[in-house]
Amino acid sequence: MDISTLLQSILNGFSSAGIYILVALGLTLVLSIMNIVQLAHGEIYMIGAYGVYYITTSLGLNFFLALVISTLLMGGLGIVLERLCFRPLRGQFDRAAIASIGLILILQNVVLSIAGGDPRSYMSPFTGVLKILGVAISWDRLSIVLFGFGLVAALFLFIRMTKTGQAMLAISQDRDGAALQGINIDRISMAAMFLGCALAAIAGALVGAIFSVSPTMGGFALMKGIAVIILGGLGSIPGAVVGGLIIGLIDGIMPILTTTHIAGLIGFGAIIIILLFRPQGISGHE
Amino acid sequence: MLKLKDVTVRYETAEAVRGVSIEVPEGSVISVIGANGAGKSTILKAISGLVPLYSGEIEFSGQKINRMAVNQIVDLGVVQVPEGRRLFPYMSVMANIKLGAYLRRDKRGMMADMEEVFRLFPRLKERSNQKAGSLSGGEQQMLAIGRGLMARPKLLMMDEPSLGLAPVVIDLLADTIRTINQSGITVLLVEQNASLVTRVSQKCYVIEVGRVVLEGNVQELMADDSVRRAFLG
Ligand SMILES: Nc1ncnc2c1ncn2[C@@H]1O[C@H](COP(=O)(O)OP(=O)(O)O)[C@@H](O)[C@H]1O
Ligand SMILES: [Mg+2]
Repeated sequence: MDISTLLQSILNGFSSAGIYILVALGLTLVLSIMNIVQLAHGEIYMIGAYGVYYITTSLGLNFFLALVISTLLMGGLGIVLERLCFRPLRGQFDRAAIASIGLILILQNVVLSIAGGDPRSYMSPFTGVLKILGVAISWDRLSIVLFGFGLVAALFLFIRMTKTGQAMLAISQDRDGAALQGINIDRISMAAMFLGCALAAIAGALVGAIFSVSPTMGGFALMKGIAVIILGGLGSIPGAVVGGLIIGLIDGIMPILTTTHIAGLIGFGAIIIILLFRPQGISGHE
Repeated sequence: MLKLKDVTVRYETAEAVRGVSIEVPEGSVISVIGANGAGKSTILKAISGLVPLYSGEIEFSGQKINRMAVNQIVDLGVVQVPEGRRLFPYMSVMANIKLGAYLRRDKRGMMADMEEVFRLFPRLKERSNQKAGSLSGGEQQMLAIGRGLMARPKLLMMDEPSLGLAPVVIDLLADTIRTINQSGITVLLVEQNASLVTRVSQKCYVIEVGRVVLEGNVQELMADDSVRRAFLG
């Protein structure tokens, strides 16, 4: 194994991490504000990618414009879903899980009937390679790393600096305590669903640019997102970042050391071992 | 200022408050006293809009508030310092205090009120960067009250603020409640601690299994040994 293979796989690890973190942050926001796990999160990711596919291919707009439009549309869908579907189920873990499984079926089949089952693809705007110390690094992967971590930084700033962000933290730590300060829980839930779905849409669109889009692509994202938030600690935003980095890097690096199957096993083994020592996750509160 | 008229609150399993009528005149300190499970917290939750009324009516400054949303009620100046403090434990003392002023837009007034809170509780200023969850019980209660004051309340409701506090801290709490009241804020105090109630309030309602069983002058009620034994254990 040469150094450039290693660097390339580390970069792959970081770009997987970027995607996992974006997906996991959305799950975390919705979980900590609304006390539900929104299992159709992967479908939002998938539709976000299809949005970019249709806007670039049918409308002929460029990727970035398409990304913005698709992201806003998915954020809007998040608000609609909050209002119509998840608001009455807030805090009801089991019912919300069942409702969101129903939503998975509906959304997948709607897309299937419109777009068909064949994978589609669109061009990544990031092409070519960047040479650092004689090692070629592909721009499309690097762009995911930059996007992912840029958005994470923006989200941290948003939560620290804005009133809405502070209200989100407050609700996640004490719901009634937050309501008694005059925080409108309905409004903040809407904001959380908007942000969560927007982040998922961005993640889906970035993945779609490198690989392809299909109606079932959300399952993988959901599985990774759930693994990340369990590893990181349920409801913890820094936890989602650290968990995403760990799982992303394992996924990126292990395949060059061994076969893909064994790499998968080692990945899950590592998570199980970490959770044995910290059952509440890496930065979870007891 | 605040009037509860024949208020009944039902949970799925039980009727927690039955036909309670309470009146809190402007400028007063009124207490509600009763044993565990009597329905005291439920009364305050109903006033704040956290639980719906089954029947009856709640009026604040002549306005019916029992169908309003929690945040609208806070906006009217009806503020609660809840049982168990309900702080945001992983946020700083400062962030907790700022969240108390969540609905306010007047930056300058907020800064002035924050100074006032720090003057009232100097410990909070010293610890303003610490996480709220790392404070002692007494400091947490100060923070909960300070956070409540940041909303610029007209009526401040406190649910068992003495819970878990040492006697010297309860003395401090009594002083604090008097100071708050003297600054023009009406206080509705829910307590099990009879001595705190006697020290700060004028009129008191005794609650037993969801009903008002006695009401009247605090000194007179508390002088009656049978009242103390029967309702406060
Ligand atoms: N969320 C709830 N659901 C069902 N019953 C409740 C709930 N909260 C309180 N209760 C019941 O209502 C009664 C009054 O409770 P509460 O108002 O907390 O009393 P207090 O504050 O005087 O100790 C108790 O019997 C309690 O068990
Ligand atoms: Mg109580």
